[in-house]
This record gives sequence, structure tokens and C-alpha cells, in this order.
Amino acid sequence: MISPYAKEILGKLASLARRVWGLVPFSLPGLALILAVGAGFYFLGKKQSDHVVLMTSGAFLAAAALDLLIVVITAAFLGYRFRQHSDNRLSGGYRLELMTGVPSPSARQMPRFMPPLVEATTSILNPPDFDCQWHRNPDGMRQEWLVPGRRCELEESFRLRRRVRVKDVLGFCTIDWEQEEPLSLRVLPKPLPLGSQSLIRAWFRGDENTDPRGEATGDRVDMRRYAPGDPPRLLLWKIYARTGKLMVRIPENAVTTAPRTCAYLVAGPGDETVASLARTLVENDLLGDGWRFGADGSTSFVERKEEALRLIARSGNPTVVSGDGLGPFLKNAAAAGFGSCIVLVPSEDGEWVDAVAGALSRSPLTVSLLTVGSVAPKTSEPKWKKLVFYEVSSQTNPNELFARLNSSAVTDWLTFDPATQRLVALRGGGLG
Amino acid sequence: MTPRSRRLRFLDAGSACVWALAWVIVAITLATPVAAFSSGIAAFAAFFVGRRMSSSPLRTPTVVVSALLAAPFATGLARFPASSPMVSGLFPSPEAVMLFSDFLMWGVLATMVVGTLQFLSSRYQGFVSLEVVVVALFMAAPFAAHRDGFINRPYFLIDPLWSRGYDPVPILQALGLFIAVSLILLTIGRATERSSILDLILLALIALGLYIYVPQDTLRDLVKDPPGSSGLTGDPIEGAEPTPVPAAGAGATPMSGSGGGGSSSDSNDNPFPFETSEQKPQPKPVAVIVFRDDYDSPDGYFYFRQTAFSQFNGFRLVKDTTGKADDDLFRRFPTKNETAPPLPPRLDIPTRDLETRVALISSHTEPFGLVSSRAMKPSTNPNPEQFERAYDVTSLVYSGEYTEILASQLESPSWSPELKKHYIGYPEKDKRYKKLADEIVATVDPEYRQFPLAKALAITLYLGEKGKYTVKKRPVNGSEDPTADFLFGDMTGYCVHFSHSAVYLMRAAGIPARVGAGYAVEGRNRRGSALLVRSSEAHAWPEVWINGLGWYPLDVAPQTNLDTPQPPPDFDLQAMLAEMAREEGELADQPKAFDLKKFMRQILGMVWSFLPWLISAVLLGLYGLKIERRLAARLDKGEAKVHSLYRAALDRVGEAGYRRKFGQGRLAFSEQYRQELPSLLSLTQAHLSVSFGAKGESETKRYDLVELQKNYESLGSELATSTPWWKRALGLLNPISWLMTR
Repeated sequence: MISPYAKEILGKLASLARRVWGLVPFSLPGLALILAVGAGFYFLGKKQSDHVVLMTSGAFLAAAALDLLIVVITAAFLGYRFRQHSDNRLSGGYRLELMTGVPSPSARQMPRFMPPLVEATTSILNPPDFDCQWHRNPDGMRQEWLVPGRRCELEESFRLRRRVRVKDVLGFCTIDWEQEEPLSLRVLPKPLPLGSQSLIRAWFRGDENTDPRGEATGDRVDMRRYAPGDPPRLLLWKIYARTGKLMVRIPENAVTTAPRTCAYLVAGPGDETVASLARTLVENDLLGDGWRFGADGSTSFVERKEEALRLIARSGNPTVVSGDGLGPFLKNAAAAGFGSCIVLVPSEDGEWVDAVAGALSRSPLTVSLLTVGSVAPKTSEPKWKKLVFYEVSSQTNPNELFARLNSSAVTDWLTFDPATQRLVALRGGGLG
Repeated sequence: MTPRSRRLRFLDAGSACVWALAWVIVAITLATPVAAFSSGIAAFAAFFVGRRMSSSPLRTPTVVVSALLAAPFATGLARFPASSPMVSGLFPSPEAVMLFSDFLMWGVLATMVVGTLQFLSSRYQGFVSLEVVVVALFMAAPFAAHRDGFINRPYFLIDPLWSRGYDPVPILQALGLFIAVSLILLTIGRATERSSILDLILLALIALGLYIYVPQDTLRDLVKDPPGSSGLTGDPIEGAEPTPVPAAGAGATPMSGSGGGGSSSDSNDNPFPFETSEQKPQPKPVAVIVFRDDYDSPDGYFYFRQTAFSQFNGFRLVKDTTGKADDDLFRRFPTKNETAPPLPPRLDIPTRDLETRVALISSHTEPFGLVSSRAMKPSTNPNPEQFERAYDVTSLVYSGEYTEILASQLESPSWSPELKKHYIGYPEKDKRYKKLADEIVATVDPEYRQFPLAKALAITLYLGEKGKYTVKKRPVNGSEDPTADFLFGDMTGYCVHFSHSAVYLMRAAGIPARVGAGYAVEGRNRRGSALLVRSSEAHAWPEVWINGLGWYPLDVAPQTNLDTPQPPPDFDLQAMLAEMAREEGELADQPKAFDLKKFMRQILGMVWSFLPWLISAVLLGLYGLKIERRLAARLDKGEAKVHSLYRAALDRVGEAGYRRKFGQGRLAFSEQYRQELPSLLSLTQAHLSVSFGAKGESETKRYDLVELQKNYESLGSELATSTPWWKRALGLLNPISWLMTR
């Protein structure tokens, strides 16, 4: 068993070794190939006078030597340019506001002209889940574009750590090094094109909205156009037959008992779409009036959009502990008079499940659980398929997830189906 | 599809073609043309299938294991038509069955190998290296037969070339170049996103330049041999792997077992350099000898001496360190005419001078020449790509019988007592040598006992009769005198043992002797004037001094040979190398080889000589355009002049380093620099007014040409103030500065 201290030391040594190896201007496969070709040159070409091998390996080694030279020169030049740029323009730091999955330009540029046979790329080491792309600007400069894969908010003393890599087209030679720059970074989840907003509105917004869960007879005195997510049993087929328009019955009065709704975002594996859902709820006023929002990674709650977005971004920070803030949040919300809470949970099973289940079992509020995942019945895969194919998605079935989170406080279960872009109410089964 | 992906697909198609070609080359050398066709097509298709599969969710181990398991099954299935009488009966002829089987089997093999490798290398970058190695093996292996100097092989390629007078070496090199470019095409762009067609062209040009301008011997000499090598060629492997030939005849001729003879200057203290020898499967050519005159050695062997071991240092024989002995040896390759000290003339034995040319195929540390070499002179290397070097040797050769020299005294009258002592030193402490020598001498017919040469012959005959020849003899660890172990042991050994034993016994009998080392080649191997010397013919032999002849081999011919016979030389190769070794034009009917390199050099030379003219013409055109744009500002009239003035002004501004940014309007650009270049603003406004203004307005309202001309001229002084002179001068010299005005 390795102690945490030894683990840390080993981690640092590995990181140092990685940095040193990065400065060695060869890739491992390239080095192996160069050694093999060199052996062919010496043992077959020279010692056994194989003219074919001598010429082949000689030309190949000449190409490798040229590549090596150009890679080293380019790396030295780019290293100088990056450092100069950092010292002159970026030493004071700058702010970047990004959105997950959407490429946005950073402050890094490379010269218009790059020598032949080499390619320079960058990758972001910290924060994780960042993709880098390089495109030419209209003025010809090569511009770095960042594509974040996870939301975050990193400010104050945060330094973005980037690996710059120069490699040759044959894959023999590569030099990389790390560089840091002070940065204030906020990455928000991408909003969802939610196709079932009326359902959410009906569910959570309160008095001025009708409740589609009402009885089909007696209190249905009005109707409106069908919206995706409405239960089919409320459809008025006679009207459809007459007019060709899909209409649904709606009760005249809402049955929602709570005047205000609060929401809480639980961070965890596979939570990016849920965070997007949270952003959509907040930005589109789908929580009604007087809402309150909380998220993992912050002990406080907020009641304004801008602050809620900050909490959503911050919940994706690498240091956030999943699910630990839900209990206090529900308690505070109950004390403040909130009647119900919507809890947005990640789509993948994880350590957060136990923490959230514990908080839900003690919840003084009624809770609606909302997650992401397909509700299509998952057929059990045959064993040979598991042997032949990698598992495409690690997403947990929402039904299974909710079964683990079931408690008396939970009254509703909803899932956002990415395939149909719709919010679907889970009814029946173990969830009643 | 974006242009980028189109380019990448172009390279992919190139890589697939390389794979297909590799399979065609392998299949055509091992199987039928049908197999080559099927494997080529299958490899091309499998390349894309493998790549496609790599982006599927298929598990890597599953795919690899499946391919490994399916390959034998599929090839077995492909062989089924040939093995099943029922199925083969459906075909019109047995040939058709074989062709069909070949078609299937090679197609399946190519699909499996290429598909799997492509699948792996698309997922893991490291496998690209394996792909390169496999393709290189596929493409280069069919031509491997020419290794070790056998440049008359592979026959399917070289025979047609040589019969048409083409030198095979440049063709083989061109093949190597083609393979290199193919491998670069296979590798390029796999590790990067960069579009690499231009890179491919650049690398191909570099490879071509290497082929055309770097001589192969220079390329070969880039890597030096490690120091401390031994053997005749300075090559530890070559020297350490002698292959014996059987003793010729039943003792009638001297022994020709080559167990390797001498040693290089680096192995001065090692008289048994081959004691850890292993047999080599095929002896390789090390040199070719061209005889200038007809000559047959009286003992049936040609001895080519490189060095000699004559000094007994108390333990064993080593090369002379006194500098007084062995002055007949040529210790360095000749750089000018070099001659050995003259021999005392002797008219009673038949000798003559024989000229030979030695063309070395593998490098040697010291020159060697036919015994007895009297002079050496450098020669132009007739084919630097094939030969390491060449030199001419004049040898004094003996064409009589031993009986004619029987009465010779075996020491030179010019030797000092010290020198004679030098040549008769042996392990005197071991009394067995003296005793055995006396016993052998006692067996000589009293009639001949007075002749030292008869005694020496008796010793060699004794060794030939009693000794058993093998190169597999292992030394006794820690033995102080391996020769004694041999001579007083089982008498099983190779040429080094025999020669040392003979020399010690001769010396014990009072006869000066030494061990000569070099190559001994059977006389019957000579065809015409050509004689091929092979590595397996490295040899060591005893020598005695004969007045008028110098040091002369008196070799041992063991009657019992425990080793397998040596194969005969490749006479085609011998003839081909000899033809190359002769100077060009030496023989009237020598075929003129087409010099591919020379031809390509000429083509490039033509391009190169044309290039300055092309560059000059382009420059002239560009400067012409630049001047035209300036002159138009003076010559144009009316509205055209307004535009021309503005354009010329922009040119001047561009020359000085002011650049309009992408997307920046003309007016915005002028306003940005209105402080430094106020005139530019007026010119811009006039240009815009003429371009976009209402056409109905009178010309005088829209622009004032005189004013604009003044503005244009004052722009010059504004630029002079705002921009350093050198920057303007550089801009003026720049032929494409007008392109910067955008």
C-alpha cells in the first residue's frame, strides 16, 4: 500500500520525467523506427552491401535528420515567441468566457508561416477536458481556439497550463513543453434547445399555470394546443378530427401547492447535460417567480440569474465534492417556505448517489428529480457483443438511477431524453 | 467534404497503393501473377477497411485475435479447391485450380495482414512504425540476393539489365530510393493534421538529391567500423567466420583449407584470430582479381599475401615489430608507385613478372597481392559503387617445378645474423619441437637431406599426413602454446594450427620460416582473366625464403578433412565483377552502361542552369508591374488619374510598411494614419468620391487633379518623416510590395 505522501512524490517525479522526456526531440515509435532503420543501414546496407537497403535507409534517415533539425529550430522559435508573448501581453492575466462544446478564440497566436514538415499544436492540461484547435484568422495568423468539454469557473490565482507540441509529419520527432498563463476563466454549459418547456412551465411555475396531472374528467374546462411532453391521454381527439389541430385538456385551476420553487444541481460524472438543463431552467425563467438555486461547489444559494450561472459554472470545478451541499440546501429552503425543490442529478452512477439519497431521505420538501437519459427500455446485451464491442455509453438508465434515489420525499421523476430533446415524466414501474 | 479532407484522402490512397505494391512485389517473386493481382487488390481494399474498422466500437484485442485465428482457417479454405479432388474436377485444368487457389490464398493473406495492421496503426500511433518495417521488408526482401557483393542477383532483375549493358548497382540504388519514397508516403501525415502533399514532394526531392549527388561509398562510410576489429578485412564477423574448402587432391597439392589466415594491424598479438570461429552459410566475395597475362600456379593455388607473422615474442608468432624484417610486405594501400626491395637476381629458375589488378569489394586494413608482390600502384576505382578501391600489383611468379628449386638455400645472403635469428625463433623451451623436427628430417632420403627445402617439404608432408583439418576446433582455455596443443595432441585444427606448427618445426630444424596470411584461391576457379576472392578463402600458410623468389608459400595439405566441402564460386558473378574492375574502354567490346545518375544529374543541371533566367524573368515582370503602377499616376488623365494616384500612393505607403488590416475600410485606414500621412486621406476621399459619387456631378466638384497631384507629392515627404530611410529603401527593392497594399 502506497502512502499518500509517497504517491504525491511519485506523481511529481512522473510529471518531472514527462517534462524531461518532452524535451527529447523524438517520439517513442519514431525512436524505435529510427533505431530499426539505423540497424538496417549498418548491418544490411553497410556490412552486407545491400544497395537497396542502404539507399532506402539512408534516404529515410536523411528525412528523419531534416525533420529533427526543423522540429528543434521551430520549437526553439515558438518557445521564444510564446514566452515573449506571455511576458509582454499576458503577464497581467485576462478573462475568458466560454461555453462547453463551442470553439472560442484564446489569446494565443502563432505566426502565419510555419516551416515545412512540422506541425505545432497545443493541448490544455489544466483545467481538464479542454480541446484545442488551430485555425487561420482572416488576417492569416494562426489562432488557438479552445473547446471546453466541462463547465468551470476558475478565478483569482488560477493559471491555465498548456502543453505546446511541435512534431514532424513523419511522426519521428516531437518536442513538447508546458507553459502557464494567469487567466480568469468561466465556462458555462451550453443551453439546451428544450422542446418541452411547456411541461416544465406547467410543472414548476406555480399558480398561473395549469397542471396536466389533473383528472381527465370534471375539472378540465379549458384547452390549449398540444406541446411535446403533454400526456397523450389529454389529447382531444374529437377536436383533432374536426379541425386537424392537436389540442389538450387543461384544468382551469392549478393544483400546485407551493408558491415558489427551488432547484439544486448535483455535480458528478456525466453532469454536463444536466448542467445545461439547469442553465436553461434558470435563463428561461422556467422556475417561476421567487426561485432559489443552489449547486455543489458552493455553500450559499442564489436568487438571481447571473449568480445562478456562476454557481452552475463553479459546480464543474475539479475540486468540487459531489452531493454534499444538497442536505443543507433543502433544509434552508424548507425554512424559507419553499414547498418543492427540483434536484438535477448526473446521468451516471457515482459516489454522489449515496450522498444525495441520504439528503433526500431527510428532505423536509417534496422533491422532483431531474436527470438526463433515454427512457427506451434497455435490452440486455448478449455476452458476445460485450466481447466484440466497446461499450458506447456509460450512461445509467434513469429508471435504475431513480430507483436508488427513491424516497418518500420524491414525488416526481423526469428525464431529458437527448435523442428526442424532450423532457419526459417517468411514471409507473417502481416509481409509481 | 472539405479541401483538407480531400488532401488527406489523396495521401491515404497513396498509402494504400504502397501497400498494394508491396504485396505485388512479394507475390510476384514467390507466387503467380494471379496471386500478385489478387493480393494487390486485396491490400488496397483492406487498407480502407482496416481504417474504417478502427473508428468503429470494435474491441482491439478481439479484432487482432480474430485475425490471427481466422488467417490459418481462411488460407486452408483457399487451398481447399486444390486439395479436394471433387472440387478440382470442376475446373478445366489443374493449372486453373492452382491459379484459383493462389488467387484466394494471397487475397486472404493480404486482407488479414493489411487490414489488421491498418486497424492497429489507426488506433495506436506506434504501429505505424511496424507498418513501415513490414512494408520495407516486403519491398526490399526480394532483392536481398545481391547482398554480400553478389550483384549478379536476383537473376530475374539483373540478367536482363546486364545483358543490355546496364550497371545493376545504380538500378538497385534507384529501387532503394523508390522504396524510401514509398515508405515516406506511407508514413507522412499519419501523426499530424497537417496537409502534407508539399512535404511529401520536398522529402522525395531530398531523397532524390541524396541518390544523385551523394556517392554510395560516401554514404556507406558515414558509419565507421568499430575499432579493434580483426581479420583480413578489418571486419570481425567476416574474419571470424571462415568456411573451409577441402584439401585439394591427395596430398599432391598444398592444402587449401581456409580457416582464415592473417590478421589486421589491430590484431598484432593474436595469431589465432579464428579460434572461436563459426561456419558461415555462404562465403561472400571480398575482391576480384584481373590477370593481365595468362598464368597457372605450379601448385594449383594462387596465394595473395596480406601480411606475415615472423617474430617470436617468447609466446607466439606476431608481426614484426623491429622494422628490420618482412620488408617485402606492403603495409599501406599504394598512393603512388611503391616497390619492394629488389631480390638478388637468379637466372637458373623460371620466373616472370605478372601484372594483376585487385579490386576490393569489402574494405581491408592492408593491401594484398599475388605472391610475390614486388610493386603496387594505385588505380582509379573503375566502379566506386561496387568496389571499395582498386590497385595494380606486379608480382614475381614462379612457373617451374619444386625440383628446380630444390637446391636453393633457404636464407638470403643479405640477412644479418640478427635477422636470421629473427626468422628461426620458436619455443625452444619445449624440447618436443626439436625432437619431432629431428625425427621428421631423419625420414628424408639421405640423397636429399642436404637440401633444406627437402627438409621443409618433409615437415609439410608430415603435417599433411598426420593432421586432420577442421575449423570447428576449439582452443584449450588458458593454454600457453596452442600450437603445441595441436601438434602434440590430436593434430586436429585448421590453417593457423598447421602453418604455425610447420613454421615452428622448420625453425627447430634450422630453416628460416614465417607464417604468411592472406587468401589462397584454387587455380581452377579462374575463368579467363578473372578470379574471385571470397571471404572463406582467407588463409594462413608457412613460407620459406628462396633466393630469387623471396618468401614462398610451402603450404600443408591435410589429407583428412572433417568439414563439408566449400561450394564453387559463382562464375557469372566473377565475370561480371571482373568486367566492372577493368577500366572503361579497356576492352573494345565492353558494354557501355547507362548511367542513370549521370542522366538525372544532366536533367537537374539543365533545370538549374535555366533557373536564374526564370527568376530574372519573374523579377523583371514584377518590377515592370511596379513601375507601371507608378507611371500610370503620371500618365493617366481624368478619373483614371484619380484612381492611379491613389493606387500609387497606396503602393508607396505599403512599401514603407503600412498595412491595411483585413476587413479595414479604405477610409478607416487613411484615418488611422491621418496624423502621419494626411495626404493619404485626401487621396482616399477623392478615390472614393470618384468611385461612389453621383455621376451627374461636375468633375471639378468631385476632384481637383492639381490638388491631388500635390497631395501625392507631399505624401513622399510625409513618408520620409514618418519612416526610416532603410525601411523605404527595402520597400523600394521589394518586387512584390504592391501586393501588400491590398
